[in-house]
Amino acid sequence: MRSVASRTSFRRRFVNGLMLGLTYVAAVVATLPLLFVLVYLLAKGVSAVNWSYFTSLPHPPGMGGGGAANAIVGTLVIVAGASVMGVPIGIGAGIYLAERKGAPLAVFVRFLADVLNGLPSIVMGIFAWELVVVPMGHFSALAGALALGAMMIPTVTRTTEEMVRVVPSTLREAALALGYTRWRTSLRIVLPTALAGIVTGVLVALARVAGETAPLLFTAFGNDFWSLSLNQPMNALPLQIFNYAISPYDDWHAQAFAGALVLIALVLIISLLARAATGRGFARASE
Amino acid sequence: MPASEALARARADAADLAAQPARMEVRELNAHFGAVHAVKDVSMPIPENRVTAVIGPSGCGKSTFLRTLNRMHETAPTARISGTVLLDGQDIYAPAVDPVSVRRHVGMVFQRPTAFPTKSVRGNVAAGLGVLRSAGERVDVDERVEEALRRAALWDEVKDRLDVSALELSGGQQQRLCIARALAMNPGVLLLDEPTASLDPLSTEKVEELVRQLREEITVVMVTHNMEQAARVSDQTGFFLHGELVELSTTSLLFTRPRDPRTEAYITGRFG
Repeated sequence: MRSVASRTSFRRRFVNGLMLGLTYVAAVVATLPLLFVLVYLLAKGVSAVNWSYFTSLPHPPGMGGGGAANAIVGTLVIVAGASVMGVPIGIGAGIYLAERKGAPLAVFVRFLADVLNGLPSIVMGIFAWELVVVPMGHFSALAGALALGAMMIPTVTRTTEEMVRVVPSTLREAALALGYTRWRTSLRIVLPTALAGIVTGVLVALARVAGETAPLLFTAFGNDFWSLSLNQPMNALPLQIFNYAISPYDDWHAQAFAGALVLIALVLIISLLARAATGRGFARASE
Repeated sequence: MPASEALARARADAADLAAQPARMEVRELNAHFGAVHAVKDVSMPIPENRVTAVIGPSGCGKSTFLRTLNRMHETAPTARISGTVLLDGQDIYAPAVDPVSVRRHVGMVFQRPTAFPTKSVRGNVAAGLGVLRSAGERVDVDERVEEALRRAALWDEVKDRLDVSALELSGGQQQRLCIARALAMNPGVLLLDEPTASLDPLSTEKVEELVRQLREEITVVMVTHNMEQAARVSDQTGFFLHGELVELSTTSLLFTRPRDPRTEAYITGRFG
């Protein structure tokens, strides 16, 4: 009797240990690609990241030096523009989906958001090209921002929906019982409670579109000179990385790696800043 | 207490209740959830500045009944209501009445504390005042916050912590914070839906003490699972069973001389 018991116990502990070990290995493997990319980029790109990379305009090949100041600023401008278009629409739609779960329109919108999420990004580029570039007759930062903004909408919508849904219905009731109207309840109570989660969703969307190249190819197009006009073609880091990477010049290749490194750093900094801002998800009482 | 003395007290209580004007008056009220007939033909006066307790087994419709008194019932998707609920003589279900304004006059506190997690202690108590201000009322927020916290017997415990998150308070304090939040609106009637169900005995005692203190200045309707609680704090008690109001009586009478055999069976613990 006793020996049987101890044998089962040994078997159970062995299987337990094995499974735990496997999940551990899986967790490590899951982070390996990211680590490899980072190490590779650091090795290849660090040498080209210097002060002039952040302050100078691109130089012609062979001349040496030069930087990506306009591409860095361009990426910030285009992504900011995309957020201005995509975030409010996404959050609004997400609140609608959460508050009107079963309505036919909600079911339809949710389905469309999922389809939109799976849409190849180049298609989004064509959409913006058709909608903005063709009527205007030239490439523009605005068209690029529109393409990226449209790409942000489904991610922001679905995370907002999820986050609003996990806000306890008792809080909603408490607000209604205080004489809040429905919209005031959503805006003043539900939204702030869900804010930290929504910010994370916005950041995921932002990080994703900041690295998109395809939707910018024939919208923002790229530009070797300074331009802050939304109405004109604008450079962006992914565009410059793409153009430099397919070029035959060694110094441009090095700068492409530098660009990739800066892009990743940029996304990381934006994430950290926004997290710091909402980490204490505790709003001062305003009334 | 000898039986004759108890009876004399009950008679005095009954006379006191009868002398109070009705702050609210429920007439032939029916409430449905989809196909479920949750409240059946209930009529009941709610005397001013007294505590009315509503008792009964789970699922007897007592919470639904409470939620018809501030038009919260209709926020559920399949809810239907018929009948009349008068507040100061005016039917709150009349077509011209805005449910949102009803809820500003009839406050409500729920089973579990529902402090708003993103707001401070002060912000929670002031949460409803913004609504009043947008409606054009002049409100001194700090003054109202202090007054409400004092009325909820919470001021001394939180006066130095007004700006910390409401979630840093204990469960019992959070529940009294919710009562303060409701009181800040200066409602004429306060509805309490099993306000101590999630609290420990000490916090429960504090809330009961608070209800007794509020008695003279505000009309209270309290749903409770706990019959001793109803006996301790209320002036009149209604017993609900299967959506019907079986018996409504002066509390001291209901618990000593129930008229209906079903009431007697319930309070003596034979079911529920």
